[in-house]
Amino acid sequence: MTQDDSVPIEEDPVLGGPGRLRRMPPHASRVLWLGAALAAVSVQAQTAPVASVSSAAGDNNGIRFGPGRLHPYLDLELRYDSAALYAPVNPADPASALELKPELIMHFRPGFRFDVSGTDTSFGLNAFYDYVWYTGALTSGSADASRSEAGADMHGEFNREGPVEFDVGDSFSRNAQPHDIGLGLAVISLYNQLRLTVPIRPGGRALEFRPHGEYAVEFFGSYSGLPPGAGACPAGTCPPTASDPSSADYQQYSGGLDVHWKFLPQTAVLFESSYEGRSYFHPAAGAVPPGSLLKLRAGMAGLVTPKIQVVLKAGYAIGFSGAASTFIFQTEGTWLPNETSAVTLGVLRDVDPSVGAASATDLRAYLNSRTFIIGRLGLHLNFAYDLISFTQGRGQQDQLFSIDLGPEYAVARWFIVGAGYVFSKRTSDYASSLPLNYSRNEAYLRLTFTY
Amino acid sequence: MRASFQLGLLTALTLLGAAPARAQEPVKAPKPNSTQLERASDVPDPEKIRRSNAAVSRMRSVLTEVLGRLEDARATKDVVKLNCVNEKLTQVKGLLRISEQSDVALQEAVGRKDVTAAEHEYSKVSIARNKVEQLRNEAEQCIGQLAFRTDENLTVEVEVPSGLPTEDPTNPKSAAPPTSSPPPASPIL
Repeated sequence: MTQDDSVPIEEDPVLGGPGRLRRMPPHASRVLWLGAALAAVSVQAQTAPVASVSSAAGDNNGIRFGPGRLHPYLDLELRYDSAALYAPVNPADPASALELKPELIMHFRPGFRFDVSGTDTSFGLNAFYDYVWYTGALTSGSADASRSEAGADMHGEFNREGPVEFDVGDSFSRNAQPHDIGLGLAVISLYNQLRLTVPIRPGGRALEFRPHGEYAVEFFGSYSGLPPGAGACPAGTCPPTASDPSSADYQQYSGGLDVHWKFLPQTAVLFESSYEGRSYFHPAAGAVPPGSLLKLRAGMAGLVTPKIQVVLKAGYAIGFSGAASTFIFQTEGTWLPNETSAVTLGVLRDVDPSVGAASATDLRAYLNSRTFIIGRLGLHLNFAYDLISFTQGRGQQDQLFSIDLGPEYAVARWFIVGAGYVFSKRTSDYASSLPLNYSRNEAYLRLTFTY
Repeated sequence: MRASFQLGLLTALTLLGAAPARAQEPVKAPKPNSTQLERASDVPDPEKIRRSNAAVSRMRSVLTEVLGRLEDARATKDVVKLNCVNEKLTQVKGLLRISEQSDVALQEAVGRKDVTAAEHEYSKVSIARNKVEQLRNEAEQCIGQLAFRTDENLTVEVEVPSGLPTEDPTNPKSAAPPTSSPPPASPIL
């Protein structure tokens, strides 16, 4: 790959920048507008129940905004990343072998959270912009990897007290962490997911039917070049040209019916069904066609004692178009020693569509723990191990390991200091593919100013 | 003839009210003032008229009270209490109607100097007044549906364990697929 073939890493601090928007596929702007319009409609819909909204939020911080409270915040984060980017061993020779280089990365993350809490209607919107600045302090030239990220998450629940509830949610993100695990190189992901659920609770509300539907799109923009030294790319997981990963752009739709029956106030047996399908907007020639899945699960969820909460689900995924047909399950136990602490241990096996393969089967073991002590100090420890088996296409296994721990301390109600350490590792049968084989150590210090 | 019919009706209403009154276990109603009946002949005619008017007024006020209790029972949609109060109200209305007629008849008898008729009408009003007071007490003791199904002294204490999760534990969030952020590499670096 020559210099001319490369696509400059983003330098515009504005979300995507004008040039960035031009490079995006036409669907991308539609998704942006759809998300914005949906959020606007939802906010407007909340105007009516102003009188019924609880005034409890009035005692909290935040700016009173209509029926809710608006909480602006600013995160300043300094992060050391031992695997910030690949750079030539010999900086003077771009064609030389690549090695992982560390860097100090600054995050400037302004955002806001808008909450409307009520017994019959609730609404929440959290949105932020994040400028990721590679300082160049440890690796010369890394500033070219600086980029703009953003995220938003909206949810609204209407008529919660009635026999028919209506829930809507939307998640939007733009970052370098794609939602599809199959992609074999670093990209900028533009993702949006819309969720609709209509819980129906006839009679005494112990029995609940939850028809639901989800629609997601993900567009990939070029972020990383793919020099020869980056190694082989698993078949179908890399675009024909690294400068145009849009061949993996996809839309994913799913829907189904869940049934919950609370045989105790805090414990329910459940049945879940969903059908998941995917299609690529403009697939490359010879690309692996996407599979689709019908998942059926049954089990129970809830409290078995006042201190122990469990999720036990087991079922079968029926794969179509080459997707895996296999058993799926989730076994999770949570210990709740007090109101502000929880320790969760679980094992999960699930199947999802994936780029470069008809499907990816994930076997995960995880531990999540959090506690909040002396009213100001929070501690968390998270661990996860994923064994991912790709079917038809890539046909290999990847392993992901991560551990994340650290404290958070509320110095004042408006000022929170957080720190932590994260270790993550990914290995693949495609050992020669650098983007799929890396270890990363991260340490961070985060200052959060909020109102 | 008419006077004997009214006296029979009064007796019937009195007996009718006695049975449900026992079923509700009312407080012991005062017995009809036999002394007052026996001594009706000793009461001067003008005093008979005055006492009769006062008794009718009192019975009207009792009717208003019982009507109020009926409205309360209807507002709370308490069928048991509504039926109980309505039964008392029906009897009060009948007794009041008889008493009003006897009050008029008493005044006519006094005007005619008919001592026997005057004493008879005066006795009817006196009996009706006592009976209405008894019905008023019974109406006060009409108990509601909830109290009927449980003991009035029953208290229910619900203990909710502390530290329960605030989110619905029967509806856990679905596990998200794993994500990864491959390090970027660019030939321009």
